[in-house]
Amino acid sequence: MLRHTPRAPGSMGMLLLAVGLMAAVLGSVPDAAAHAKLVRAEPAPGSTVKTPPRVVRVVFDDELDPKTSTLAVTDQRGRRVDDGKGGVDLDDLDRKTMLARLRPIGSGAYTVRWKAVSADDQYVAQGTFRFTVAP
Amino acid sequence: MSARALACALGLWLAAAVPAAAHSLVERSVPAANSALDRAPRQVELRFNESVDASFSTATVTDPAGARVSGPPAVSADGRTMIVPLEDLPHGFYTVRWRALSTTDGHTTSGVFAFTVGLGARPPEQFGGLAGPDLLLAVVRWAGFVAVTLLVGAVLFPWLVLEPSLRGLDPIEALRLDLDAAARLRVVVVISAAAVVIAAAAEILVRVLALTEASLRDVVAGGHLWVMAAGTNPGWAAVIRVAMAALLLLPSAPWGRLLRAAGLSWFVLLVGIVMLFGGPAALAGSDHLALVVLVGAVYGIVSLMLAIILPQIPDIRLPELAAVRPMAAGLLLLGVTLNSHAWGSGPLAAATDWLHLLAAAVWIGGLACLLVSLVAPREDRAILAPRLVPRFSGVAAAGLAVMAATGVYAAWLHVPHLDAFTATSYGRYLGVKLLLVVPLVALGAVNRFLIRPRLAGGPTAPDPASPVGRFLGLGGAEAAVAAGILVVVALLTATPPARVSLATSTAAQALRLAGLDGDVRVALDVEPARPGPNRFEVTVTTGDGAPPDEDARVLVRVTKLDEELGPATHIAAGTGAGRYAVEGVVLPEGWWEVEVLLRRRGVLDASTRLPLRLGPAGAAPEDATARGLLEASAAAMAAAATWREEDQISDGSGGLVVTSLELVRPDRIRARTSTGVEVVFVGATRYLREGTGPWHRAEMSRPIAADGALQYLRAAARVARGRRVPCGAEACRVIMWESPDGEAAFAGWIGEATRRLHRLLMVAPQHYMTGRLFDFDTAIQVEPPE
Repeated sequence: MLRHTPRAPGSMGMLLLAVGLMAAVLGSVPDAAAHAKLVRAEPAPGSTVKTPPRVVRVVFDDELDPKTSTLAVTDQRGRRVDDGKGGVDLDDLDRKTMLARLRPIGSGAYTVRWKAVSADDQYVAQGTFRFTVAP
Repeated sequence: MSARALACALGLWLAAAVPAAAHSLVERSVPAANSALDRAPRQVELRFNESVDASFSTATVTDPAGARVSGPPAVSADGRTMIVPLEDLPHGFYTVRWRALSTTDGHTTSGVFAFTVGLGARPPEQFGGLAGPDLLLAVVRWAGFVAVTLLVGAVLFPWLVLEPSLRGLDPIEALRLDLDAAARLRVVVVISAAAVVIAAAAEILVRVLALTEASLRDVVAGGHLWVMAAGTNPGWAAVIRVAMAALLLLPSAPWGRLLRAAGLSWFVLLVGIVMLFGGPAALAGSDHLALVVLVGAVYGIVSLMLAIILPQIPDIRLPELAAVRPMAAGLLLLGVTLNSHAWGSGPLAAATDWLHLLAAAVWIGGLACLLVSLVAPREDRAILAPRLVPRFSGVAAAGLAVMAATGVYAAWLHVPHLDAFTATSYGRYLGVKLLLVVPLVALGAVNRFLIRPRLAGGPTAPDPASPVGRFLGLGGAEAAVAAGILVVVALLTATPPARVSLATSTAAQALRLAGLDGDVRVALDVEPARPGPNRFEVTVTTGDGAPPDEDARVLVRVTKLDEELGPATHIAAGTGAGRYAVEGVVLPEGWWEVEVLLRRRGVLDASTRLPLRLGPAGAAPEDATARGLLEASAAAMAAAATWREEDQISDGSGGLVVTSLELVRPDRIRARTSTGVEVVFVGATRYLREGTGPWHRAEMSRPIAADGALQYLRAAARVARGRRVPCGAEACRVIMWESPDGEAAFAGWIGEATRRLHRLLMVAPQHYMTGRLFDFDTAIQVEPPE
C-alpha cells in the first residue's frame, strides 16, 4: 500500500526558518528609533522672500502624530503671527506635512518652531528655522 | 522526432492531475475545535464550507466514557450549518465526530475534534482533524476506475485503431482479422462492464455503510440505498455508470443495437429533464421524480417491444447505429466526472476532467486492448502488429497530449502553490502520481522509438515474432504501472484537494476581531493567527454602514508588547467594498497590539487597537519587578476616587460589545452598552433599563465593587515585563500577566509616574478585550435614576 511519511523539518531547517522570520520582522521595521527629520519647508529655512507668505509648510520624512505635533511662527519680538492651530496637515494622507496659517505680516525676520512627534513610537523631535520677508 | 517525445514526456510530468475541487469541511464550529469552556454549551454548531446532504451528514458528541450525549442533528435549509443538540454536560472532555456528504460533488468527508467543559484546560492541540481517506472506498473506486478505463478503451479501440489499421488489406482477410479481434475485445467489454456494475453498486453500499454506521441489514431495510442512489450526486453517478455499462453489454445483434440506441436516448432525455429540475439532489423526494420514473418506464417498455419486434420484420434494413457505442462510452465517463472534485468547480473544470478521463481510457484502455488483439495465432500477429502498433502509437500520443494539457489545468485548479505538494495529503498523492507517470512514459517511449521501428520493418525483419514478444512484455509492464497510477487516483479522489484543505485549515484558525472608534467600525481577520506570516484583512464601515470613501486609507500598525520590536506600519491595499488587506506580515510568537487606522482627508484618524497573542502561553518567566509594578498599580487604582472606562469586547468571530463605564469608588457604577442597555449600581441596588424604557430596580445580596479593570490586577500569575511605551501624559510600562487558571492573558499599560492603569488588553477563549481608562479623579457623579 502506498504510505507517505511526512518529513519533519530538521533542526537546521528550524534554525533557517527562525533566522528567516527574524530577518523578515526586522526588515519590516524600518528603523526602531525612527524620528522625524525635516525634509523641506516653504519658505525655505534661512531664505529671504519678497512677498509675505500666507502659510508656512514643513515636510518631514516620517509619519507624524496630529494630536501632539505642533508648528508655531513668531516675529522678532516673540509674538505669534500664526492662527495658533499650526500642526499636521490632515489633507495629507501620509501625515508628513505640517502647516501653519499666518496673519498678514510685514517685512522682518520670523522664526518657525516645530515639534514633530513620530506617529508610531511617539518619539519627539524639535527644531527651529528662520526666514526673512524683504522690505 | 525525439524533441516531440521530450515535450510529450515533460508535459506529462507536469500533468497527471486528477480532477478534483469541492469537499465538505468544517469551516468553523461553536464551540471552536480544541477550546476550553467554562459553561456547558447547549448545542454544537458546525459550519461547512459548502452545503451538505441532510440525510447523509451527521455528527455525534461523546463523553469521556464514549457515551453519546447529543441528539439528532439538524441541517439548515442552505445545507451549510448543522446544529447538534446536547444534553446537560457535566464537566469533562467531549469529542465531536462529524461526517458529511457534499451535495456539490458527492464526496464524503469526516473529522473529529474535542472541547472541554469546566476543566480550565484545552484538549491537546494535535487532537482532532480530518479523517484520512476511507481505504475500502478507495479500493472500490480503484476497481471502478480500472473497469471504466478498460470498458471505454475497448469500445473506442476498434473505432480508433483496429478498423483504420486494417484498411488496405484484402477485404476478406481484413474482415476475418477484424471479427477475430472483435471477439477477443468482446471478452474485455463483458468483463469490464460487469466490473463497472459491481464496483458502482459496491461504492454506493460502502458509502452508505460508512455514512450511516448501520449494519448491512439495517441499510437495506432502512431504504438508505435508494435515498443514496436517487437523491445524491454519487448515487446518480453510479446509476449512469451502471446504465451505460449495461447498454454496452448488449450484443451487436440488431435487437441489441436498437435497444442500445433507445436506451441511450432515454438516458440523455432523463439527464436533460433532471438538469432542468436543478440536478439530482433537487429532484430527490419531489413529485417530479415519480413523474420522471413513470415516463422512463413507459419509454423503456415501448423501446424493448420495438427492439424485439422490428428485427422480425422480413427484409427490414436496420441502421448500423455505429455512433451509439462511443456515445454511451462518453456518458459512462460523465458518470465518473459527476462524482469528481471537478464537478463542484464549474463547467470548464468538469469538461476538462471528462477529457482527461477520455484520454486516459484511449491510452491505457487502448493499450490493454492492443495487447488483447495481439494475442492471436503467430501468423495473424505478424500481420496485425506492424499495422496496429504504429496506429495505436499515434492515438496514444494524442491521448498523452490531452492528458498533459487537462492535467496541468486540474493541478492549477486544485493545488494553489508548490508548497501544497508537501503540505497536504492531496498534494503528496499527486506527487506520487507524477512520479509513477515517469516510468509509464518511459516504457511508452521505449516501445515507440525502439521497438516500433523494428516492427514496422515488416517483411525485411528476419524474425518479426521477437520484437512483437518484446512489445507485449513492455506493454504489459506499462499496463501494470497504469493500474498503479489508478490506485493513486482512487486515493486522490477520496482526499480533499489541496486548495480546499489549505483554505479550511487556515479558516479554522482564523480570528476575527472587532473594534469601534466613534462611528467607525472595524473588523480585523487575522489568518492564520499563528506565529509566522499572517494575513490581515480589515473591513471598515462608517456611521451609516457604508464603506469609507475611495481615497480613504487603512493602515495596520503592529507593536510587539513583550519586547522592543516595531512598531511597524503597513498600508493595507483596498480590495473593494470597504475591505483592505495586508499580506505576509511576519509576526513572531508573543503579545502584539494591532492598531487599525482609518485615515481620511481633513479629519483625525479613527483608531481601534486590538489584542493579538500568538503561540503557546506561559513562555515568559515571572518577573519580580513586574510583579512589584502590578501590585503598586493595584494600590494606586484602589486609591483613585473615580475614573471612566471603555471596554470593547469581541468574541473572535466578529461580534462586538462596547461598554462605557463611570466608576465612583467604592460602590457606584454607571454603564452603557452598545447593545442599548443602561445600568446603574448604587451599593446593593441595581437599576436597569433597555433603550429609553422604564427603569427596573433590583436589590442584590451585597454591594457592587466598583473595580472595573482593577479586578484583573488583583489575581495575577506569571507576571512579566514588556516594553516602555508613551501613553498620553506619562510614559507607561507594559506588564503582562495571566489569570491564575491560565484561561485569560492580559497586557496592561501602567503609568511609571502615577502607577495608574491606562490601557488593558485581554485574550481569553472567545473574549478579546481592549480597555481604556481615563478621567481619573474627576468629578463623576453616579446617582440613582429618577
